Amino acid sequence: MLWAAIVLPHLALDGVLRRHATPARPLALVTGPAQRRTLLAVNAAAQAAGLRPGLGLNAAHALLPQFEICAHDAAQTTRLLQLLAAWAYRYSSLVALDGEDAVVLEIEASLGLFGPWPRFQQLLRADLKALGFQHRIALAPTPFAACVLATARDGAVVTDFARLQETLGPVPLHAARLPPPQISTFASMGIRHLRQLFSLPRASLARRFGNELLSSLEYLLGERADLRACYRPPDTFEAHLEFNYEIAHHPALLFPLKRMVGDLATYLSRRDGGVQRFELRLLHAEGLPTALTLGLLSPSRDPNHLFELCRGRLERVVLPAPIRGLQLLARDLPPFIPATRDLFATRTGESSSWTNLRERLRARLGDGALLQLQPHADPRPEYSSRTVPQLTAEPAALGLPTRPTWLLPQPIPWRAQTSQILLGPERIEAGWWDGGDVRRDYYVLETSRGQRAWVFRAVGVQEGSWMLHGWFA
Amino acid sequence: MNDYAELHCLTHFSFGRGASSARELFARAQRNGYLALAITDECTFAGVVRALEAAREFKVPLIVGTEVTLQDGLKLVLLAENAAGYSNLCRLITHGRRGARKGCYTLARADLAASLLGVLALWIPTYSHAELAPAASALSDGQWVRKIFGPRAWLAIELHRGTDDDARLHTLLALAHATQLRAVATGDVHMHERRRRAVQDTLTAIRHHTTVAAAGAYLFPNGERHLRTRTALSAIYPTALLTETLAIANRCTFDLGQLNYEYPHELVPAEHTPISWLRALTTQGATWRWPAGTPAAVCVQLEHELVLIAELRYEAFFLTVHDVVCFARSRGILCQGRGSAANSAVCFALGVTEVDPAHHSMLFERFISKERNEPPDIDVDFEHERREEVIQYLYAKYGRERAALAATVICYRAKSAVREVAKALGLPTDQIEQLSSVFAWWDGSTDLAARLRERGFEPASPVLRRILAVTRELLDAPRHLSQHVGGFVISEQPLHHLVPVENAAMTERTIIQWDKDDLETLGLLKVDCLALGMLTCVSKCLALLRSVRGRELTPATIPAEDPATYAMIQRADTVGVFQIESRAQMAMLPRLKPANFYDLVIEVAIIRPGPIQGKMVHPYLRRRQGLEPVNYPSEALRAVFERTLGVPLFQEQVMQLAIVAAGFTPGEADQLRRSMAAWKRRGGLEYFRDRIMEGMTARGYSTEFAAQVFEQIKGFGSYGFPESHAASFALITYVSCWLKCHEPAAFTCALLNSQPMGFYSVNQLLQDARRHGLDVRPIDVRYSAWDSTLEAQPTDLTRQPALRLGLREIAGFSAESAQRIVAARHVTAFTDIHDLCQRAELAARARGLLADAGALRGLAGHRHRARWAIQGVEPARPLLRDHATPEVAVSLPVPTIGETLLADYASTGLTLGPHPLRLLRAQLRAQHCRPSRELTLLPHGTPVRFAGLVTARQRPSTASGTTFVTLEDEDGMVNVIVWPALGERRHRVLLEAKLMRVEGRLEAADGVQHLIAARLTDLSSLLGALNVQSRDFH
Repeated sequence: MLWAAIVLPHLALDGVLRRHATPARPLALVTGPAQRRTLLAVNAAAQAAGLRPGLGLNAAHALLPQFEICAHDAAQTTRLLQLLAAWAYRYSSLVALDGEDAVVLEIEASLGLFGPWPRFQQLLRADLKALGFQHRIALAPTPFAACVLATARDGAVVTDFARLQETLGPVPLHAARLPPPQISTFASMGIRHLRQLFSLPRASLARRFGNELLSSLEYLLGERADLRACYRPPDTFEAHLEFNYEIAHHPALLFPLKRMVGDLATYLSRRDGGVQRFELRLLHAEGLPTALTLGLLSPSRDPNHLFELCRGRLERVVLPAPIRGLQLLARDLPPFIPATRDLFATRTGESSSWTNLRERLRARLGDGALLQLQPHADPRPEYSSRTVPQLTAEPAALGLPTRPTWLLPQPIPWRAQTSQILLGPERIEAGWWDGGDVRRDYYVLETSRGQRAWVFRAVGVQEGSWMLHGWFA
Repeated sequence: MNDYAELHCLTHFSFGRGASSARELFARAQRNGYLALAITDECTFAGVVRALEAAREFKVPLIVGTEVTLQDGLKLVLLAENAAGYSNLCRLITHGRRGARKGCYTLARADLAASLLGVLALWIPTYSHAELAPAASALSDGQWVRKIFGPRAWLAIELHRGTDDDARLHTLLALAHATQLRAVATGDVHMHERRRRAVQDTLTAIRHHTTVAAAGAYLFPNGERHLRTRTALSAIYPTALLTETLAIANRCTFDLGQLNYEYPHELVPAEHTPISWLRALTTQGATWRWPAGTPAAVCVQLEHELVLIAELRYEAFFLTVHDVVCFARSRGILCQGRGSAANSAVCFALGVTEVDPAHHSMLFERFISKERNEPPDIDVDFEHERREEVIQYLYAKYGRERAALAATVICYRAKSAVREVAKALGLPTDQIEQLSSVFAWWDGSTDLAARLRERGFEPASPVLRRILAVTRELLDAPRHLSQHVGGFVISEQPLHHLVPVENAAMTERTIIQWDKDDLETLGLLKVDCLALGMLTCVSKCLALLRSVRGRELTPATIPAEDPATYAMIQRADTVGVFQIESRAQMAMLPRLKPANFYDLVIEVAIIRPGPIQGKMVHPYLRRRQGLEPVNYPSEALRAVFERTLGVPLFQEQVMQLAIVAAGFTPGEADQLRRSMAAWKRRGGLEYFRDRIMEGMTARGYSTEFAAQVFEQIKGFGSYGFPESHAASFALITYVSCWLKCHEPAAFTCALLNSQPMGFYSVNQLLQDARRHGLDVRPIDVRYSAWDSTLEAQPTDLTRQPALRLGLREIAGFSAESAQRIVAARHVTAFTDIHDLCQRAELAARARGLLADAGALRGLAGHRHRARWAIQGVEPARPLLRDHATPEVAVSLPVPTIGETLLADYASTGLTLGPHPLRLLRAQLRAQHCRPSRELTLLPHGTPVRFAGLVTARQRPSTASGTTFVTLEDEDGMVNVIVWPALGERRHRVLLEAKLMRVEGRLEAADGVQHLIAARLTDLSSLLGALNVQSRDFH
């Protein structure tokens, strides 16, 4: 077998840059806790300004006051590697990952289709370039050796075991994909190249570095079979339905939709999973499809529940054009946890009716449509409450002083006749911290018609104009 | 408009609450015409002395009190009606503070139920600002207060333009009626005027660890909690409530200024009075100091001092200090008094100070003066590693009830203030870091806006303007109490009768709530037990001489006026010695050429901000070099100024000048000195100006001369240095110089073992030692102990012994591991690595550190082999002891010089191999950089390029923005002067470079060379991973 290794030295950065509008501006990926953020990777422009990986963010700012900062997302990098594995799967049925930055594929079996190797290599490089990934490629008889060679020397090729050890000899240890602490321990002993490592007695090495190192060496030289887990394409549910006619109104969609959702539910129960988020695409004759994302609070596989969710959402959609087809995509398929049922419960779900209602409302109106009013501690009346998207079951309780039932969105000049001052002044001086400093004396007034108004005027201004800010019930 | 006294007012000593200083509050109280102002900081008296000073200044009577909130939420303002009440409050606060962790207090009702005679209580029914009625328990709370305090209790009504003040007033009046308490108006004052609202809100947010925007529930809804005008108060409160404040204020007759303090009595034997005992000890001491008979002049001086001491009743103080010093002597702890106490012959006779009055002219009034009526100040330095023994002795002798450390008030500095304010205003963490780094070197003068822009901030943006405005107001406000470095207060009666005592951060330490200025204002005595690293070093050096060299020496028996020592000093060969080792001092030595002890005294004193700002340095130098004639306006003044060639250098001389030329009494002269120290802040020298002009003209001096003298005195300002202090320090300087000159190995060894101390790093000290030809030997497990040691040269005993570096130089190595190595080695020498690790029970980390430090060279060979060997050490198996599994020998490459250097620096921060710049020399040559060795041969004015490791950066406040940088290369050090303009332009290089290249011009005069920088370049990248730390002094 022959293994091609593709090492992606700047995977995380490439992942950010490939979807970035202006990659030429200085940019750095940062990681670490908020107090001690450090640079993980920098692009060429940032490097030119003196930034380098490992630098603290503060030090970086000292070097270059303005540059773009992207938070490193490890999960995103993992997804990228999965994506690349899926891409490699086109070229070989034996694809595996190495570490967090390399993909290996067995190519001997594929040489007939894509070969010979120089041409094959060209294909791979062209694809990677188009995808926007910097890469290093090497070919070797073992997957680990291929990775090591790719890291050390881009384009290296060894095809037989006889020359493997000799080719690997000059590889510096830091390129040998060993654990970093081991590399520095070796460096402290003056051991810097694989050649030196090969020449040391294996027993002495095992005594100092354990059997993992020996295994690594054996995998590297092919003395032991490298039985690594191979890549398997992920499971997703995808269903597609094309109509022979155009549908202009949604009720006609309900039946095919019900079947489609039923298929999904069947699929889900077969893999003993649920779905938490899926996408329904309404395909039109021309133009982009109308995509509806449906989210659930917890994974579900109940066909009726899922169908109700879709129907609720469909009813609100204004169709831009008649529909020629339906597509259902479910990628987020977490394990299903069935609701525990009380042995004596007569009707299930009764206790969580609020949860159901909330879920329905959100499904029907969209995630951002549901808000909650919460008291907020700020002396200024206009800031004393705020809306929050996160719905908590219990609104937080907070003692509030005497405030009018109806607070006007904006204070307006007060022109009515005042018959009597009932309360006041209540002085409010606050808000300097956000530029909205107010200094007001509030009074509760009674008008000649018996209404009670909440009015204020600026502190210390005797002749100042009165402003109406609310009415009491 | 009614009369009013404010009875509930916090200063910024209620940390995180009060936003104004006592001075601001009293000034405003005076403007508002208040008849009295109570300072009632929360469970603390830390601010009362400052309040007393402010009360005196603005002539508004001070009432001392405190606000406390009990565990169950009951809130009271307690006021001291009389001395007994004050003492009871001290006891209460002490109790509350001692029972809680630092900075907190806990009090319960039971604590108040105990006798609080002489204390008036104002009960503040709790209302949260959103609620419209007091708590449900109000009635029973009020009845409890009434029961405990009886006729000394009131109900305080505090109205702040809340939701419904009328309703609140009526509810509270009804509550007062129901609980049979009299009602009184109070203000709950948190700031002196409304404008402090932003600062007060910010402090509140800081206290609650949140941002101002999120702190709504804790913020006051308006700025009414300030000292309101009486007109405003009259509009809010019924007259009866305002009048009641006066009734309470009139009852509070306690005067903090009349505090009754007594010094401990127990040091006087039964058959003696304090003065007779002090006299006996002094006589005894004089016989010890002058075995051949006390000189007549000294006898007169002693008598003069004893009379004054007796008159001012300071005997006990002298006896206490004498007792501490005797204790230290009995334990072999080196100690020496310093400061103004060295002006006292009694102190010398008692062995407290070492400056011989027979050889120095003394001015006892600098130390104690009748007019001042303030306690004397005796500072005693002890070996820094053994001072704890002295402190424990004091605690043991007087008990924790009667001895405590003074507090130090830690104030907001630019950096800490901006950091906390920015956090409270919601800046993200990394921006806070950025902002505080802008303020790190900010001295108030440089262009802040430009610095801010450079770091990506827009100074004109609203957020930044708010941050800067609040930061400015917060600067120098107290932040928390910490312990003073060593000021002990000891009293006859338990201290908590006098001042509250609280816990310090260190366990087993307690501090009183007053700092040294407070103590001085109130006339309390304190003994400063300070720590001095050089004394430790001298002590260790003398011990080494005794054990290794067989030389028995003490500081007193070290030969005086040794020419070789002075020759060394004149060469500025003074790395590591006391005081005259800094770059500024070293630049002065070749010009001043000290040749006797008094020259050293001058040297110590002359490189100080005072003489530099007073422009005394150059006239003195010129006169000393004979370039300028020395003349005296009169014979009387010749006596005063002859020893400093007519240039006033010392505080004592200014005092003597006033006495001799203007007819001041010694006490008045001391007042003049003190006003000099304060005039920049307070002014008030006009009175003395008139007196000096008048006195001098009456004694026949010209008006011009008198005016010139006065200006000179003013220039002296706050920085003048006392001669007595300089003389004390010069003694230690001489001793350290003598040791460096004659016993350099022992001296360097003692210095290493006393680290951290002094101006230079261990690496620099060793570079210096090796330049002097000392044999410095590397760390080696076969020979090294924890400390560095001396190894005799067996072939030639007259040679300086070799210095063997100790294991303590290995970063991260523990003393315990070192001790086990020494103990195991003592049994029998180590045969190999396995034997070492087994018998010394070394953990993997310790083994690794030894290998990294190269300490295993004798057992395993070079570092690479050592690391290979220790990696192969297997865990001990009891039955198979001493039987390591045999191994094949492997061959590993020998480390290169560069590798060794990097490993040396990484592990110990020092190298005995070549200097890093020697390794870089070829590269530096290519850049046309000359080594320092060549620089010394070049004439004045030569343009040069030089590169060196940055070992120190200094920006003295006297140098108005000029930065002094010390660069080091393989041959020595070069002093670089960076003028402000260049420093501003290239401040990043200046602050950040580890290896700096300087292009500039050489300046040479009197054997001193400086490099005046014209261009700075950061070459740090050449150093790679070299771990060279600069010691920055701000």
